[in-house]
Amino acid sequence: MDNNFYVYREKVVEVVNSLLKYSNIVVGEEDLDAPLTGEKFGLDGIALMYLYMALEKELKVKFNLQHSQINRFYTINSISRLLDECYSKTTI
Amino acid sequence: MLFHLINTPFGAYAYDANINCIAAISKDISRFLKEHDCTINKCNVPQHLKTEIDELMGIGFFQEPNTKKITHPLTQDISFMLERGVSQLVLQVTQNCNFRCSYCAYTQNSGNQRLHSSQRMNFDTAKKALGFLHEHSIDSPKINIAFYGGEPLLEFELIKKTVYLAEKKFSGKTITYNITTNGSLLTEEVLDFFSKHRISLMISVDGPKEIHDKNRKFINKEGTFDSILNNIRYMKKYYPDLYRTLTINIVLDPSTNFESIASLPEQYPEFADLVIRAGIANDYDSAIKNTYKEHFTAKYFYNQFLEYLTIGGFIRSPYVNNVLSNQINSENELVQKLFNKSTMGVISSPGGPCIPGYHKFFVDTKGRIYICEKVCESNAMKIGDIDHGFDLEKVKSLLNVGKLTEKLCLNCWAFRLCSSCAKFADGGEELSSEKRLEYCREAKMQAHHRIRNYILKNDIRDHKYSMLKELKL
Repeated sequence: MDNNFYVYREKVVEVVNSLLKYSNIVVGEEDLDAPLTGEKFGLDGIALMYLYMALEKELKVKFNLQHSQINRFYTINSISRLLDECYSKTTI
Repeated sequence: MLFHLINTPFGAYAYDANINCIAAISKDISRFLKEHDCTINKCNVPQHLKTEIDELMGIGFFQEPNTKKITHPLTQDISFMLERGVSQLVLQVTQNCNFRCSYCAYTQNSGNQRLHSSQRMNFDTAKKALGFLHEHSIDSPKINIAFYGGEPLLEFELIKKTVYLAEKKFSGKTITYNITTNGSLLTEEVLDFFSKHRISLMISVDGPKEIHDKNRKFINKEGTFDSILNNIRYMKKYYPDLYRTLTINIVLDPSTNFESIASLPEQYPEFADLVIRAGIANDYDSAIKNTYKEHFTAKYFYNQFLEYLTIGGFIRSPYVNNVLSNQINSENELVQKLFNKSTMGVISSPGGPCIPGYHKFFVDTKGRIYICEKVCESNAMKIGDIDHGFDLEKVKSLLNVGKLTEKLCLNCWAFRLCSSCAKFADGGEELSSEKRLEYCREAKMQAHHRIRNYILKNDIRDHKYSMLKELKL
């Protein structure tokens, strides 16, 4: 993994934590591959939409999910990888 | 006070039931209201929040509840409406079924629900039910007759005779027919008849074979998928017009794999072009409650997300062949109509109940009338019989089901968004306030979800606009 991946992941964690601030859940190392819509995070479709838009806003990027990528907005690591692949040339 | 606070990453909002309106509010006000347990009086508002609160109060927010008494606005008119304006009849042609689905309320011995039985409707009862519909539909230009069971096709001869009679009786009116069937008894004769009389079918298929056969079994416990698939293939080949109007109903079992269920249209091209309705198995009347597997929930909500992405125009729809599309689109359409600013009257009624008998009425094998086919055939849900007509007192009490919990409802922020229909107050012999309160939490969660859904649409619009500016696209 290059540096950008970790920078992106830090951002994703930050935004997820802000989404979860009222539920007393904090993202831990062990949660990075857990589905955001699963038991630990408990995000529903609407909350995940907000994560999607918040990341676009924070990182000033526009996700253009292609068909092969639509299942990759699923965990913190998979989103970070997606960002790294698509926007590695963009400085944050 | 009747307001509810919502926070999204993009802002804070308040919904007020008194005026049925959502407003963006500052985070400071949201925090202040939370800290003060949603009560406002002139003394406790800090100086720096006064202007904003005054403005909101000026347009009707944060006032004491307007409504002082629960009475449904149609209480006086309902007898006239039922006399002349009825339009949909659901006939329970049999209580028998050739399936024994594990989640079916009629398979289990629970609550107020009946069990499978060999009771069938005779033609005389069907004839009387049609006569009753005829008498009470003078003002209705359109008539709909639905056949329900058990498995209605076990009584195909009765269905045929009923359709022939209806065509004579309602000539001059537009008449449509629906049938909800398990899809196992679609012979050439049946399909021929349905095609000729334009009878729309809804068939229950719960996913690909391995998922479907887990719950939907013949009485001898054999799986039913192959038989249904063969029938649908046959229909597609020989009755394409009928096939095009076919709706598939998926009962989602949350103990299975959502991705497998969702792959139905990909695995079997017969389902790819059909309207699919999917919803999680309703365990309200069941002795066996749903078991949720984490993988199912995670994928269910993820697919919900993909659908919102599609609706918001973030991805193109062909990317998502989503069994949840229909459910989410209908919910979205509903939500867009929900928040029309209007002040609650001094006398009003909470959301939830339909107009018993008027939207539809359900006649069981014995000629007893119930509010709809989705309720238990209990005395509490019964609104008459075809020999003596509608029991207007029962109709009025079901219409005014909110009176059961009047004090709590009058002070509830979800008053106007409530989804607690009469079914949730079914105490068997009579209506039950305890039963109604049991559903209260769920109804509030649904109301909360609908507000979030509405706000999301606006936040998407604002987000897209700001991204356009930001990225100069």
